[in-house]
Amino acid sequence: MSLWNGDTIKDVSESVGVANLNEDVAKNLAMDVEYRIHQVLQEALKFMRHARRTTLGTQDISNALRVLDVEPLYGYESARPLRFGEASLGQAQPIFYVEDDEVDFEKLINAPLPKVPRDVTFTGHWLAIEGVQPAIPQNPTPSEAARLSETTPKGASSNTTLSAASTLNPTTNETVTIKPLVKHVLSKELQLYFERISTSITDESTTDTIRNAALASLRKDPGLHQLLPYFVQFISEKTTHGLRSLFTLTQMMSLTHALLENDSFFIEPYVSSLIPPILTCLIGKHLGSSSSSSSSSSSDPHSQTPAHYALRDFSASLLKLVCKRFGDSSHTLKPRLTRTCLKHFLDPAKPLPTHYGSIIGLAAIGGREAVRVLILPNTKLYEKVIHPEIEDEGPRKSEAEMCLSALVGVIKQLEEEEEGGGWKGKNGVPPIMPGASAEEVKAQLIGILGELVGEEVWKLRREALVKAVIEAGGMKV
Amino acid sequence: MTDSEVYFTLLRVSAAQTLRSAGITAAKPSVVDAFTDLLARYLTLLGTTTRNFAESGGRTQAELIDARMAIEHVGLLRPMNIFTDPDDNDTEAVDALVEWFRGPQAADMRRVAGHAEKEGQVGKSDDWLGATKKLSEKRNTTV
Repeated sequence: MSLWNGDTIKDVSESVGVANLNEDVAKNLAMDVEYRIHQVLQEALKFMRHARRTTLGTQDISNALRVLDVEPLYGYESARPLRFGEASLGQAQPIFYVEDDEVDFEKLINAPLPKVPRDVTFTGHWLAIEGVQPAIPQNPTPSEAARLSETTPKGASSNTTLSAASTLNPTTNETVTIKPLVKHVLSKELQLYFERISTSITDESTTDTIRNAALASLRKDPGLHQLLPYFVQFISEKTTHGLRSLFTLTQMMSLTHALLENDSFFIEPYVSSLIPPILTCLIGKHLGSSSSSSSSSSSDPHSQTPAHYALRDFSASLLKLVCKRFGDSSHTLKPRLTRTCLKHFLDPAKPLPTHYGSIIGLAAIGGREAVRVLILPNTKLYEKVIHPEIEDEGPRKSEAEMCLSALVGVIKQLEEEEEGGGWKGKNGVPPIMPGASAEEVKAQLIGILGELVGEEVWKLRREALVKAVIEAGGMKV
Repeated sequence: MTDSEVYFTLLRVSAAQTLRSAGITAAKPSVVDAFTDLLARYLTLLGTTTRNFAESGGRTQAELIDARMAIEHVGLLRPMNIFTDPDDNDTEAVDALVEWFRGPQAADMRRVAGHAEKEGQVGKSDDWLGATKKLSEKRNTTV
């Protein structure tokens, strides 16, 4: 009749102290027990349902007992799971008991304190910027991402194409782990535009007006955003393959300039891909064809057309533009560029045009500070490189002279940015500086800058510049 | 660990310290849990009674007087004076409670909990949680 056995009731009554219990009494008690348990369970289920759960917990039972005015059961709060051990009575009748070994208090008291759980919070982070997932700690690393994408079921279409591909080519050893490519849908119009522009810019036979028109269109037109990655790739490709052709390089730099000028492009994520071509055009060892210039020796493989200096100047100004616009948003941009330029400047094994490029590059990136801190201390040392070339009328004299003028040019920056224009002495004689004679000053200047550069700077007759140089040089000593 | 589990575990430490100071060295974990549960319910009872007295007095914030009435209501203060006479200055019950706090049992509990006992200073003890944390770190790192 009831779920509860009379034997159970008898066992409980024995444990309480009532030795013999009548059968009927036991049965009645069993029915009553069942009723009470049902009652408690119903209240507990109500609690559970109101708490929007589907698992009944000890807390629900406690609350049910509280509501029914029954003395609570103590000790069921703990989260430790109850372990049941088995003991057999001998007749293959197992008795289950709660495994509950005694525990020493010292251990309990000295046990490490539990970790306090963190509160629920939420923050935001960039999942992907312009389709690229930044490598911040909140994003999965590439290895994790690969593992995750393996476990997710691939789309039905890709499966069929892969299987079709493998069945069609049973002989080829195509690996089946081809990643499905993301198709980038470009309108016919845009594709046409891209082709036209790229061919017109790189084609030497087109006239200037057409090329300028193309560049102007790139500079002004909105709505070209989809083509940006293609243009960037185009620039990188042409730069790496077109090192022989000065024309190509110049055109690529103009193209970069046009892209940078366009307001409607969000070019920040592509800056790091644009920098390498610019740097190549700035400090590349050998820009342009090796055809000789007019007067220098035609058999010298090192001579290059002087037009590449214009290219390097242009690249330096582009670099300046990039640094001005993006130097603040990226912490590593300026240091990286500075490091590259400095490395090339200080490497005597590199050809002189590289030095030229790195000098003007450093000045473009860092302005007055870079000149003061990076170039000035090394000028005297650099003397040693260009002095022999100029003195001995070596084959690289013109290059060395260009480097010299570059140095002087950037040193001039030291003064120009301070006061905007120097003040020439009267009658072409440098004004006497307080407390020092002209000769001493000149000697000091030469001491800081080295002979060649010092002479040039002295010839400029700009007092403020000389003062600035001596000040800066004085700091270093 | 959920919040309630953390609190229960911390309270269990306190319960174990209490039992230890009473002289019990070991017990079954279910016993300790039951004792902790009792302790928790008792504290909750004190709290709810205090709150009830405060609300009866038309206050939302409990005051000392509410706490004292709750302690009396719960039966912690003996002998209890049922007939409150405004002229009655009998503080025997409160004195007994204060004496207990100064007494040897409470002192032993403090010793087990690791509080430094200074001569003559009875008043407020350190923040229990901070002291227990420090003690736990010390014991768990020097082992």
